[in-house]
Amino acid sequence: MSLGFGFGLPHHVAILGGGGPPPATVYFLSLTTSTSSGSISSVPAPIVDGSGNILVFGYDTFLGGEVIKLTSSGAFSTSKYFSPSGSALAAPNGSGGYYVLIDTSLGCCCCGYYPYPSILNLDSSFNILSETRTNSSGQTSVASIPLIDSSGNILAVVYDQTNGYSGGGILFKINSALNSANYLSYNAGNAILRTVKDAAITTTNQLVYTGSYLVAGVCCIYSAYATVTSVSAATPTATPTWQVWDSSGTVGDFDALALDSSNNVYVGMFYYNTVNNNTLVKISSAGAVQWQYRYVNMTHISDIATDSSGNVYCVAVSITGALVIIKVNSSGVLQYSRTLTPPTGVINGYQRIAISGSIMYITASWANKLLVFKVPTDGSLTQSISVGGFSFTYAAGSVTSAATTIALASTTTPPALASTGVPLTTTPIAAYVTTATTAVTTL
Amino acid sequence: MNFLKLSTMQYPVQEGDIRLEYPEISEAQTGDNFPLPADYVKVEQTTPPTYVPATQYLTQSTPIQVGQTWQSVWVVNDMTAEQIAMLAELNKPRQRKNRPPTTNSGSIPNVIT
Repeated sequence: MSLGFGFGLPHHVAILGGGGPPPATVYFLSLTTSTSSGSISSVPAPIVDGSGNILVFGYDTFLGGEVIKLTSSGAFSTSKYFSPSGSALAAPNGSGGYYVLIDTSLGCCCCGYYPYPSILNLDSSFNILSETRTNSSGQTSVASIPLIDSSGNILAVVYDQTNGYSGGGILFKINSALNSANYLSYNAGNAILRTVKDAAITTTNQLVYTGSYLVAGVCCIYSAYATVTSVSAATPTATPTWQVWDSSGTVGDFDALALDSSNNVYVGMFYYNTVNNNTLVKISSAGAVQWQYRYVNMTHISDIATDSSGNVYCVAVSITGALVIIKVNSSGVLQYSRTLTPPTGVINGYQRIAISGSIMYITASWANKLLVFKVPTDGSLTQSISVGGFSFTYAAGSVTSAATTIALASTTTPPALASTGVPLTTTPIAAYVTTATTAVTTL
Repeated sequence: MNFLKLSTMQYPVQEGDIRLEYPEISEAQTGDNFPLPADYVKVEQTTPPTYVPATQYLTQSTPIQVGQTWQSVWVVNDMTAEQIAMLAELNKPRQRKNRPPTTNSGSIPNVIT
C-alpha cells in the first residue's frame, strides 16, 4: 500500500512501497556512530519503507543533516549527508544542515538549509536530482519536517529572524512545481504568530499546527499563549476553521502533535518549569477539547504517534535520563509505561517515534550516537539488550497519570494569516560531500 | 487509572500491563469497564504536594491501604545538579526541530561517492 507521508495519514505513520512484504518482525536496538567528530541526534520521526528498511534522519553536529538507511534487522545499509563541497560544516556563519522527508508523490525529499531554506529531491540512493532554495536575506533554517498537501504543495516550518518574531518558526509554503513560495504569518495588531512547533495535514486537507502567539503589546518570549490551529491547507491564509488556546495565562507552547485516523488531534504541552509540562491533550477534529492528562515520572513529551486503533504513544525522558514510552488509549487511559535505560549517561537529543502496524520505531541520541529502537506496541519483550558491548535495559516504567484541567479556550474565528512572498532560486549550490557512517547493531 | 498488584506489590501497573497477563481482556474494556483481576487493586490518586518544578520532582512510593481503599503516596525529591542541568537543557524553548550546528573546526570528512 503506497501512502504519502504527511498527507491523509496520522502523523508519524510512514509506510511506503507498493504492497511488498510486511516489515520483518525482528526487534532491535541499533546504534549509529558518525565518522566525524560530531554527534548525531535524530530529528524527524523514522520512516519504514515497504521492504522494512528504516530511514532515519540524523542531525550530525559536525556534518549536518544525514539520511541513514538501516535494514529491517537494524543493520547499517547506507547513508549520506549534505554539505557544500570543499568545506566541512565549519563555515564562518556556522550554518548548515538538512533533514529529510520521504513522500511517494514527491519522492525522496530533503528539506534543510545552507544558508537559506532549500528543498532537495533525492533518488532512492540519496543522489541529488534537483534543488530549490530561497534567495532572500533573513531566512535561516527550515525548522520542521515538511508536509505535502493534496495538491502537492509543500508546507514546512521555517525559522526566520526577519519575518518571524525573534527567530520564531513560521509556516513556509512552496508550490508543487517548487518555483513559488510564501511565508505565512499573521499580525493582528501586535498579535504575531510567534512560533510554530509542529504541523500535520488531515485526511480532509486541513493543516493543523501547534505553537504559540504573543499577547498583544507584550514582547517577552514567555508571554505567549499556546495554540493549536486548524486551517485549510489549500488556503492557509484564510480564516482558520478553529483554534484552541491556553486561556490560563501560563506561558509556553503546544509542542508535539499527532493525528489519528479520525483527524482527532493530540498535542503535548511545553511549559517551562511548571507542573503541567507534560500534559497530553486530545482535541476533536472540530476543535473541541476531549481530555487532558499529565504524567508523573517523565519530563515533557518529545513526540507523539498514533496507531490504526486510535492508541496514542508518547516518548520523553525521565528525570534520571532514561527513555520513556507511554501508551494511552483514545479515551486517555494510560495503558503502560516503559523505560529504556542506558548503561551510562542519559538519553538526550530529540526522542521521536513512528508506528508501523504493531511495531514502534523510536529514535533518540545517546553518547553521541543515533539510537534506533524497534519494539512491539503492546509493551511486551521487556529485557536487557546488549549492543556493541553496551547494556541497555527495557523494562516496565513507573509513570502514573492523572486527569488535569488547564483552562483552554476555543474559538472558531481566530485571526487569519498574512502572506509574504519569498524569492526562490533553482541555482544549485556546489556539489555535496557525502560520507557514510558506521553502525553497531544487535537483534 | 493506576493499579497495584497485591501478590508482588508491583506499582504502578496499567491496563496494558494487565492485558499482557490476561490477553482475554479486550481493548474495548477500559476505564470504568475494565475487568480488574482479583490480584489487582485500583490506587486512588491523592492530591500531589506542592513542589518547585525547577529543582524538585515527584515520584510515588508503595501505596498504602486506608480502610478499604489503596491510596498513592507522594515523595518530593530534590534534583541533583546534573538533573537540574539536564532539565534546563530539555526545557529550553525549542523553536526549531533541527538544531543548528556549533561552529566546529575540523578536517574534511572521508568522502565516499
